[in-house]
Amino acid sequence: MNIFKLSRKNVFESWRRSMSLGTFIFLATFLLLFFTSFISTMQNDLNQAISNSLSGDIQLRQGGTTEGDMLSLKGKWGQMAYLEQKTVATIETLLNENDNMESYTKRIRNDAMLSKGSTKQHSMVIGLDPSLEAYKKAFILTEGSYLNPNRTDEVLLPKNYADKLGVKVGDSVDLIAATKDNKEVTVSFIVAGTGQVDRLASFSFYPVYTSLQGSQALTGFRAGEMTDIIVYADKGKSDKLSNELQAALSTKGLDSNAVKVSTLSEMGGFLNSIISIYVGILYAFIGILLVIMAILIINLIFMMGLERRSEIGTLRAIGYSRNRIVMIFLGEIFIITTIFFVIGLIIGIALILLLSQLGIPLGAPLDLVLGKVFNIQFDWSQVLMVFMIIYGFALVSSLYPSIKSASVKPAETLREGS
Amino acid sequence: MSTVILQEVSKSYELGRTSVPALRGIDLEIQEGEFVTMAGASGSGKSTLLNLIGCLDVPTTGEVWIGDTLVSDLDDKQLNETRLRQIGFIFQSFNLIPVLNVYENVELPLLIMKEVSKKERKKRIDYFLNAVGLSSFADRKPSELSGGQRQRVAVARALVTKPRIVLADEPTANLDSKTGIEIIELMQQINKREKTTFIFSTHDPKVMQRANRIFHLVDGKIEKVENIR
Ligand SMILES: Nc1ncnc2c1ncn2[C@@H]1O[C@H](COP(=O)(O)OP(=O)(O)OP(=O)(O)O)[C@@H](O)[C@H]1O
Ligand SMILES: [Mg+2]
Repeated sequence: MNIFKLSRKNVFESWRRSMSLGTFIFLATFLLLFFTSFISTMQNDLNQAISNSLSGDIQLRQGGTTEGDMLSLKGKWGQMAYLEQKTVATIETLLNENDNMESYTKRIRNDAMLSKGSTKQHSMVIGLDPSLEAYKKAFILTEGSYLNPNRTDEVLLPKNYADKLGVKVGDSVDLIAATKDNKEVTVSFIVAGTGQVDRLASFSFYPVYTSLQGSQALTGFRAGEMTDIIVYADKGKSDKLSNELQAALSTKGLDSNAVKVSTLSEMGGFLNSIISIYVGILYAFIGILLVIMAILIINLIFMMGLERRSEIGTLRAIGYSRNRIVMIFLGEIFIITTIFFVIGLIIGIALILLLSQLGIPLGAPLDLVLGKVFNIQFDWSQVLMVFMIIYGFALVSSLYPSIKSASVKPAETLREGS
Repeated sequence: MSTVILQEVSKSYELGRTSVPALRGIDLEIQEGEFVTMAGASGSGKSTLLNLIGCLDVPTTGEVWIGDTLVSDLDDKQLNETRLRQIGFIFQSFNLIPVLNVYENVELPLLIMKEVSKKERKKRIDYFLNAVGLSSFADRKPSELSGGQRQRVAVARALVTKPRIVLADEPTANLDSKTGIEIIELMQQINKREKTTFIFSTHDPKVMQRANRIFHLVDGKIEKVENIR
């Protein structure tokens, strides 16, 4: 046996007391795991939603527009902000020179009215190069095919719009829009495919995809004019790339008033603020729980220290150093923590996995951002974080009372008798 | 050869503004392998004296030597080591660890002696449990033993480290006189066989007569040294 056997025996001899501390460690572990999974799923979902809505990591657009303008389309007709042909060319040159970039998409976004017979549906049209793969992540095809790069008159419709308009793959559909010169145009398109669109619930409309030429017809843009450019950065490089681009643009005479570069998280900033209040409440709750846990640990060790005063004195007399006694106390806290941490983990993971299957119904305003049903995701990296927080707290709160309790003078405790 | 030397040792306890003298100018020398007792009435300074020899306390003035080490020269770590390796303790109220069984209680000091292998540990514990006649009680908890048996466990625990000196502060005070004498006889046997120095304290005249030498303490002074054999 080593000296931790003494820790073990102490834990199981005063099992009831160990349980009372253990219960809190269990609760803290369980709730911490659950909440952190909840929060991280929430943030992931949100980022995913923003990413899919933008279909990229960085957006370059005309200066003077706000993130909100670009995210929540308000359907203002005829007030189009866009990048000039020359500006686009400059940006493309810069992008091609940059090593942190994976790829980019030039886009033309505008509002348009889908029309079939007398049925109409407001929508947001995104024109892009059909030969690029990236948009396929955001539009999951259910029928037909993706845009044919050789055709300019195709659209991809969200399934619900197609149903509402009563159109199928191969049918024609009209799009009515206002050009940049504020002239109304009607252009006929062929439905290439229908599918599911991932989008933020806070967006007013689902996007309809078409080719750049198709969008030019709707907006009156000349070749090379774009509303925005979406960039896919190398993993973890999006902040760096964003800064580099903005700086490089400045040297070419294009400051942030001319071209604004925003990252995904900047775009999502105002949406994140919606969930951040919930995150704050959850963390405050966890914080309180951890403080209670710390107080219980401190209290428990001081009590043990008093109860075992003569025992500690005896051990000190027969040659145990103060640090060894501290180790015995820490050993006890470690054992209790481990037992209840594992129980909390098992039950927490089980519940998270169960809820990830069932889904959690959400009310306003969270449903706006995250959807009506929230599927919490389990992630092993959370376990590591919870482990570090619980064990860190347990260790930190044990240290002082352990040292204090171990610092008895054997000559005194022996006099007190037992 | 001397194992313990005290030179002009005094010890006072500070109680607020007053100072309580517990020992006053103690000079003594104890040879290796001796079996001696500190005898005296309650309050005469027996525990104080044993605590000084046991490196549990420091004298106010004077020098305490264990072998050729001056105790006041030692730092905390060295004091721990000295108590662990040079000295064995037996206490009046046995002071066993209640959650550990007999075997584990005896094992306690060996656990922190890195040079003692697991095999050697078992060998020693078995040997000393046998020596105190408790081989068949190894799995018992202290609460399941009589007072005399508990003190035997304490004797075994004091001896497993093979110390030079065993200090026993009133080892018989919590035992009936027959059991008390048995414990002293056990210590005596071990003293003869292992050549370990024993220093115990008592106020019981029957018990003190078992020692080879009696130091009579009165009010913190050695009044008389009595050689029995
Ligand atoms: N920690 C202390 N603080 C104050 N006075 C003390 C302390 N320890 C001992 N004394 C005093 O020192 C004197 C000697 O005490 P000590 O415990 O050494 O006597 P003793 O011979 O062991 O007595 P007993 O037979 O009752 O155990 C006593 O007067 C006692 O009151
Ligand atoms: Mg005493």
